[in-house]
Amino acid sequence: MAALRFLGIAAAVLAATLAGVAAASALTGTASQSEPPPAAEQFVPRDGTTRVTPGAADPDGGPRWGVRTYTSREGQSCVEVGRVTPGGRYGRLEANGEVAELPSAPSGVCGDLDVDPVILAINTRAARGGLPARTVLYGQAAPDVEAMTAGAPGRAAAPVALTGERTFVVVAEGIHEASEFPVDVRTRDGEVTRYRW
Amino acid sequence: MKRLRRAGRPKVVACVALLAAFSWGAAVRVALADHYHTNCVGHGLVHGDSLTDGSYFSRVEAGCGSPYRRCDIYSGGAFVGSATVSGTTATCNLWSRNYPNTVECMSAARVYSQGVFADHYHNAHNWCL
Repeated sequence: MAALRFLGIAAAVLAATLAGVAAASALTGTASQSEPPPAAEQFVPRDGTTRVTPGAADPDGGPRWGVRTYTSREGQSCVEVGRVTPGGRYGRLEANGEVAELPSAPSGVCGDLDVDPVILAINTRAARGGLPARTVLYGQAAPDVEAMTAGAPGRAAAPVALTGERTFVVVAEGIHEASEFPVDVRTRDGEVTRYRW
Repeated sequence: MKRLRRAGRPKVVACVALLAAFSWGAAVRVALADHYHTNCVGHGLVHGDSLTDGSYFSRVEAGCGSPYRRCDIYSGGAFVGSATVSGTTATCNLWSRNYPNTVECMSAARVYSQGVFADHYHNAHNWCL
């Protein structure tokens, strides 16, 4: 009798454990088969396509924020945001105020501007090593984008300036939710796409 | 009165045991999640050429109808930075080199894709924290 009871308890505990595994798998997708990440070709810059364009000033001054763009080997448009020296070097700001140059890498947010009117991203940087926290809206617009507006924390929506490479940067102090950056994009055919994260 | 107490105690103990077993199963499953896998879209922490060069990516691919996705980097248990990407085609891709002083084996990618999978972590393949 005691043995039967023990077996019953053991079976119930095992069932509960498996139920926990199943619940976690369903929520996180870990039930799927493990696969290697996609070939980096999707993100690797094609030779001769990298451009660096200075954009917005930082509220604390120093090197401007800017966007580095490139076309990937698979033909996607890729963007990344960092700091740009007056000489056009792209990189990461260090605590001493210098820009540590970042080499060309498969590091961009890559998308298809024939499908989406903009590649739109928000990057946050926690306060670390004496550098303040920042939230940066950035991206690149397709050739048929006529105008863009973007809101920012504590600021109503305002026109976004596009550079010659059709990139843009909006910088805010601190860490903010993406929902605080509503973006509207109008193309030449009059269609307006609203991005409400 | 004493008999009633004795009769109720095993049920409480059994409920606690079952709840603990459920939680343990869920916790272990999440902790052992692969550093990168595909659940409709690929996502996770991508090591570069080396596990120790400090160059790695938090990544969520586009697809499966997701309107936006987020990929964060944590290192040493602390939030380092994030990327949030909107649109139907853009991959969320955040490079560790954008940030100073992260340790690859202590880093994790926190990922989310709206409508596809919930917020969760993928630890480095050579996790050492």
